[in-house]
Amino acid sequence: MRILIIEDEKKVASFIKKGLEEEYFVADIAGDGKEGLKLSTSEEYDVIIMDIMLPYMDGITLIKEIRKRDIATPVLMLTVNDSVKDKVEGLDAGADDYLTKPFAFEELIARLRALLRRNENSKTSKLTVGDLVLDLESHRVFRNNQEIILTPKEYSILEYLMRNSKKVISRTKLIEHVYDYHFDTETNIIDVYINKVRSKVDTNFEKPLIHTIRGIGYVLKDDD
Amino acid sequence: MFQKFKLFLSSTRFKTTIWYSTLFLVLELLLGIFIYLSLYDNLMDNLDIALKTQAKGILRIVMEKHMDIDNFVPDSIYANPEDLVWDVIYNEVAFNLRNNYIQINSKKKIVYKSANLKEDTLSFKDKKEPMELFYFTDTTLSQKPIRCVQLAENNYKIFVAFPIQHVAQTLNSLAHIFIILAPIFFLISILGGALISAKSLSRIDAIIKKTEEITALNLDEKIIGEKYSDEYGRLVKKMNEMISRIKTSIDYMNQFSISAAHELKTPLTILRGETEIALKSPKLPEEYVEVLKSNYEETIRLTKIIDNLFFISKIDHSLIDIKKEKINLDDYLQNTVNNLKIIGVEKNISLVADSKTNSNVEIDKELMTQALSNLIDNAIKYGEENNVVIVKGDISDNNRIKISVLNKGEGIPQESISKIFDRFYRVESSRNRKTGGVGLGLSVVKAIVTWHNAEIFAKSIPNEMTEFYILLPKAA
Repeated sequence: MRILIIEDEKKVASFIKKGLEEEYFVADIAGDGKEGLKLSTSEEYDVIIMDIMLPYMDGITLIKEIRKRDIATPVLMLTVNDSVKDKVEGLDAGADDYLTKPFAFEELIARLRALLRRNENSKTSKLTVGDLVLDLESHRVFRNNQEIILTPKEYSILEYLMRNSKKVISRTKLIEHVYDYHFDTETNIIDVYINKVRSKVDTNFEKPLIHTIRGIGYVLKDDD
Repeated sequence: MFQKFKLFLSSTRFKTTIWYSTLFLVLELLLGIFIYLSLYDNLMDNLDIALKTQAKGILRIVMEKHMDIDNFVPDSIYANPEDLVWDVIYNEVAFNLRNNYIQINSKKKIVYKSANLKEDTLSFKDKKEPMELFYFTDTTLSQKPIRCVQLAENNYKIFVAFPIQHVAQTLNSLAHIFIILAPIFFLISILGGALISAKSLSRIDAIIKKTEEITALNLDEKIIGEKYSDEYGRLVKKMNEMISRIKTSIDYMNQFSISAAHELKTPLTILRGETEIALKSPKLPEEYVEVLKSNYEETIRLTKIIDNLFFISKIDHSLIDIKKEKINLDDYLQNTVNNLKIIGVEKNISLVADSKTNSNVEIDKELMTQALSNLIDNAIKYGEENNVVIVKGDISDNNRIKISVLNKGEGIPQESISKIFDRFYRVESSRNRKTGGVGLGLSVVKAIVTWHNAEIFAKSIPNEMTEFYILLPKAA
């Protein structure tokens, strides 16, 4: 899952990024409101974490701008003010959740997971397709109650495919959601990863779950 | 219930009522005693005058008749002396409406006694004056003494007397009236007093009620009743003034603590976040060192914020010792610039002093240097690289000393310029990674400048130049 962090305090942004990466997320940083607007409109993100006090364009204006452009990406705002007025203003502008600084990183992650869950039917911290189960909290994957060991990148790819099960995901889209924006989308490294994931998830099991749609991309589905 | 009663007993309403009623009662008693005594005096005087007049009248008539009672010779009118005397005093007795005791002696012999004397005889031995008043006590006629006048002339002794018991009775009935009226008056005065004090104190009750309602949360509410110009009105007015002073202080403290908390939260977020992530999973030693370094920086930043907060708070409450001295402006600015030149080195900004005023200023050198160094620090922080920051001394139009700090840089947006001296305000565009200072620098400057009875202004032309200038009174 790819996260955009819009935060002017460099150190705050960088520890959030670091922590997110440890949780198998990928994250980009925007240091001010303008850069945040540029990235959030040109790239695809699963969640945006945004400070309210930002140079050039404050968080409230930024959220409104983003929503005006029909971008529905969930926004979690970070504030130093825990006044009701500020929270209401942020939520009304289009934010989905808020967290007051200083915050516990565990809570930030939990709220991110909750925001990612919103568009799914499942309301638990587990993703399930057929007999394949992915635990979002412990980052462990099981098939038929047998644990499958994945690298962080493989985990990210599987997570994205499972979140979007039954949908055909293009290679570009997959790259956009599992790599930060420094990644060169022209490479075919994603195919290498997909093959690795597939060999771990589908080999040794009766029914394949990951399917290649030639010329378009991939789909993860349980055919029943 | 008992508690309520106790409260009532100690209330001003009860106390004033009791005080007034008691005072009223005492006054009534004093008045009664005064009336009693003066009336007694008056009645006695009148009695004496009446007795005297009557005695004189009787004597005159006795004399006019040329009576010779001792050598009485019966004639056609009077067969015996009694007839004569009776006739003589007839006039007086007939008009003796008060029923005075009357006795006439002639040469030690009683020649006449009014009937009401019965068996008693009036006598007075020590005769000094022809007419003398005395109390006749040796009598069965009355338990109380009898007031008596004795008029002795030409061998006659005329006694006219009246029992003062009658006077006493009059006075007694007056006293009775007073004694009966006293408790009634007392009751009326208690009721009336209670009513009046209740009415006047009901406004106190309203003040108490409202005062109880006012807490730190609703200090903008007012006690009603300021419009009256009496004591209560003045009290309410003063209380409202006090409330508004408290509100100002509390607002200031609230603003101060909110701002302080606000400013402290960023370093705390970093400290907490970085530490939490460092502890989350095993890291390489270099990574731990990096976290520790960063945390160290943040603790320094926290210390700085707290120092600045303390400084502002102290200067706001005049807790700083200020030593003003008269110094030459040109030398002072040159020295300050020389000492601070080093700050510009990193960005290759040269710091220049330009002051040829030949004037003196009266300042606290240490504080003013701190203010200037904050301004210079900012000028360099927000200034363009490889450029210049000028510290200028000048005489302003209205003959004040003007110290300016000028730089060339992106400048301050017009809409922010009025707010930059507010505590904790940072121009949004300035809140970027490169500068990231504490939003208190200009507040410190402002506090110092204000202390010097001076003013500070900022002027900015975006992407050209920014000028901060201080206007100081000129020293003689």
